[in-house]
Amino acid sequence: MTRTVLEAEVVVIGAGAVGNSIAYHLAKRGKSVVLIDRRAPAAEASGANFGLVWVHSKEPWYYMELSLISARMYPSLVAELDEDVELRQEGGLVLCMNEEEFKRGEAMISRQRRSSLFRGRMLSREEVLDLQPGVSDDVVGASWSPDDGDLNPIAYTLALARACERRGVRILPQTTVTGIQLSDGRVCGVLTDQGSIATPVVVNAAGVQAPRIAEMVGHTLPVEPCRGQELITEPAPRLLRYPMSGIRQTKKTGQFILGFTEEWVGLDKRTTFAGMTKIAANAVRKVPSVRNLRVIRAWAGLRPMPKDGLPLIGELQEVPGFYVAVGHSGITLSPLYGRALSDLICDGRTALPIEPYHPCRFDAESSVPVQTGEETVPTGEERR
Amino acid sequence: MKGVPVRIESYRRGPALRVILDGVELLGFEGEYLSTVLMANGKMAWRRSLIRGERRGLFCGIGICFECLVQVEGRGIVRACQVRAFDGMRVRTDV
Amino acid sequence: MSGTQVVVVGGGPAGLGAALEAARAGLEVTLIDERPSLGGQYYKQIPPGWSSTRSGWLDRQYAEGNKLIAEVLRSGVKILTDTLVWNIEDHNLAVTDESTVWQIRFDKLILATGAWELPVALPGWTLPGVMTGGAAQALVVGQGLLPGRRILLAGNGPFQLRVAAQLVEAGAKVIAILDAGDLITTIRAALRMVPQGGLIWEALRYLRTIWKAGVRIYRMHLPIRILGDGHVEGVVASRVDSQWRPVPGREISFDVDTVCLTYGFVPSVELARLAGCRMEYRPEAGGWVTWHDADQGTSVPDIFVAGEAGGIEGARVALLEGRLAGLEAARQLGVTNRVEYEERRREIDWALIRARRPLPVLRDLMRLRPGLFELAMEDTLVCRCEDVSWRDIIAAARRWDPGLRGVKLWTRAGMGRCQGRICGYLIPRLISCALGVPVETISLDTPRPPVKPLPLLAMASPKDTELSSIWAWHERRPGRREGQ
Repeated sequence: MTRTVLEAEVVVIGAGAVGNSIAYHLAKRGKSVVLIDRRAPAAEASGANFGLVWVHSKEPWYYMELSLISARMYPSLVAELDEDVELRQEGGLVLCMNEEEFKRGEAMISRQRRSSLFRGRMLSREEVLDLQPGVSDDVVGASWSPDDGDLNPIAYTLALARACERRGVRILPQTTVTGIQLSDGRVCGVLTDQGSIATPVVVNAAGVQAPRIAEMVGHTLPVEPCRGQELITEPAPRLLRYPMSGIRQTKKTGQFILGFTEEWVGLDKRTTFAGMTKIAANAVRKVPSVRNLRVIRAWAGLRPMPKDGLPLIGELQEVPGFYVAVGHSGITLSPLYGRALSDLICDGRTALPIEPYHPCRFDAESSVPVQTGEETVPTGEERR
Repeated sequence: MKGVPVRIESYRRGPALRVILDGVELLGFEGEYLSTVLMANGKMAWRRSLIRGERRGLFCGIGICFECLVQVEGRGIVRACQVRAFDGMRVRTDV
Repeated sequence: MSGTQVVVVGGGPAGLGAALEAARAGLEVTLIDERPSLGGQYYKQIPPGWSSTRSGWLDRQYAEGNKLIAEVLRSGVKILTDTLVWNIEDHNLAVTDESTVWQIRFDKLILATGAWELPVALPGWTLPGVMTGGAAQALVVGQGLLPGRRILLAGNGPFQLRVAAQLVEAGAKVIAILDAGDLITTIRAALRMVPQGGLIWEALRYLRTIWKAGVRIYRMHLPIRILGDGHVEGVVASRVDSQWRPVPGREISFDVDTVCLTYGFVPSVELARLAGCRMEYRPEAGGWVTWHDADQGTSVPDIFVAGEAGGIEGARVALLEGRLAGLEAARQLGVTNRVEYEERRREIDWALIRARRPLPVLRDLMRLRPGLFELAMEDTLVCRCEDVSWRDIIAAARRWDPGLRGVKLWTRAGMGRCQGRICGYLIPRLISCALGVPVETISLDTPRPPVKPLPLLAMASPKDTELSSIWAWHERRPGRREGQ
């Protein structure tokens, strides 16, 4: 028997970078919000990722655009948080260590140029060595864009949580959702192990647990955990200026964060000898001078990976009031999720280009087409 | 009055050696850990803490607290209480 | 990849006992220790080629250790010193010698990883010159170095007496010894120990050395503030009540340059936790210890624990538990005959009963009281690696998560090189005191490799060539599942 203890206009499930951002943006629009987590803010993927705000190698090109739009929201959002989250947005590289990798990079760049917003290009070996001292002489080139960057994802998520509280969001950690209450097929409440909350709107931002939450309203979310192992070293003197895919040096402490793997092992968060040695070898190969740095910890995060790799953003057609906000790259897209969901919930629509990401696109009866990346999809400017 | 650790006379040690610490030669003996050489030469602290910049020295002595860090040329940052001194070793502190 | 029947991790009394017993049963044994020589913390060896004219009774431990190590060396055990075990995955241990890494496969694993001394957070405890009693002992006994000129010892229980005696014998000026316990409890304990011989005479010998040197023992005193600018210059101590809380108006100052803290031991359970072994909280045995059954088996099949890592019981018990684990490993591998096994088992079991007899008394003496965890002030550091204060830790615990992981995310406590060895002991007890929740309810952080830091170059150079085939650093279009 549950009794209603709380009421809210919106309940957000999952206090990671995505859930916190959504709660924050909703609170800014004046909504009363409860943010629930079965553990605590940043306890899952948001506290176990690489920390990139990454744009240029996201494919297809319209997903890159979405990432770019989100990346451009970061400076003003971080300014509102008024805390140092070590945000740097000066550019980023993906190194190419042989001709084949370089050719693949070139092909990727040309695909991305379908977007008029894209500012990336290939760098020659000399340009890489000039831009990023410390990279191995064996490098052949790199893909680069000035729109990439990094931050401290834990500091960011927790700063968001503090900002949420300042704006009146009630954050309930150590609270597990046990059910979603529906009335006439519409959301009317959330059941937890600490009592229930009456609300007409639920946002499922539960990351790898999102399918479990969606099951509660009879919806199947095709999201699988994809494990990424990472290493972190002791602090070191400043060497790298720009983050790279798989190697970055943190702004404040100068520690190297190294990654990563892509493994489909369910909810297994263990690190492995094979994974760790592979990451170490990759790092030493690409930035030889890190070889004497000591690894102090390895960990693994679980990326919530939707079936086609693209985010799930929107309201479930068959369960009005139930919104989905799930995908990998929750850090890069955190500001965008916040704006998009608060637009949808407060105004019923958004100008942000989220059409390709409807959560019902995989449903057989759904009228929403699944994007395969080959269609021409209008960009923000072209849309009516 | 700052106390200086002192080598116990009743011990017979291995052959003498030189450790070059921040460019200065220190006397040590084969078998001594770097921390012993440092302390016997009057250094009780050779590092600053990460945020507050406090002076730090040996605490646990058994290699689990990582306070006694020094940089040994060619080996990176190591615990002084776990590394044996050798003749001509070049060491930097305040790492 | 190399394989062996029994791997023993840790070359102290427990590890030596385990290796010997398993080798005696005819098994292929590998003994691994991260230090350059065997003996662990208990059998502190002086460096090769050194000698010292120490007094006889202090030498006994050294001779015992020497004898045991020599036996192990003769027994055909494969010994890997200067080798760190940094990860465990099923039946594979990941090891390193700092220049490469490789895996050692085991049939049976015996964890004999020992313990370290517990830290005490009080104002000024991070000043150079403050160290554990064991650190002072390692310097004096193992390196022939007096840690300072004017030394104050602060602790609880008999181990401190040994450290004090060794310091005095070596010519150190010990200004005073602070003992948190009261005289009545101590005398009562001493009287209970008399029928068991051995330890009580040792303690009296230490006391005699201390008294002869004119060192005063201040009972029911705790240090409450360590003073100095960049180095220890003095200590303010206070008389305490039975809960170790300072009695107002009973402060006393000491002019010293070195402080040795000796309040007890913390089992080293990183590898056991990484292996998935069940832990249990036993405050009388050091806090979180590796659970084990009467055969030294942990909750993970094929993994045993012996010695302090399974609960602080002293070196004598550790050695016997090691033997027991070695014997059981042999039995499980089917190499013992029933009669020999039962005889040997009986022998060890009886020896253990005898060795454990003093424990209840010792544990009574060594019991920590709440006042020890109330010494920290708002600004006192708790995490030394990341400079995190008591104030920030308690605030995070109160608001977000009374657990180590949450505190870590909010404050960075535990993110440094020592990976929470020091603060991970303190934080649950400080939270318990401040929030009034039992220590065992405070969840620990996820155990993660490497057990201790190792260079990237080593990690990048696995000796196992089978792995190179999985290193194909395949590029994928981000977002696409493999095969699509």
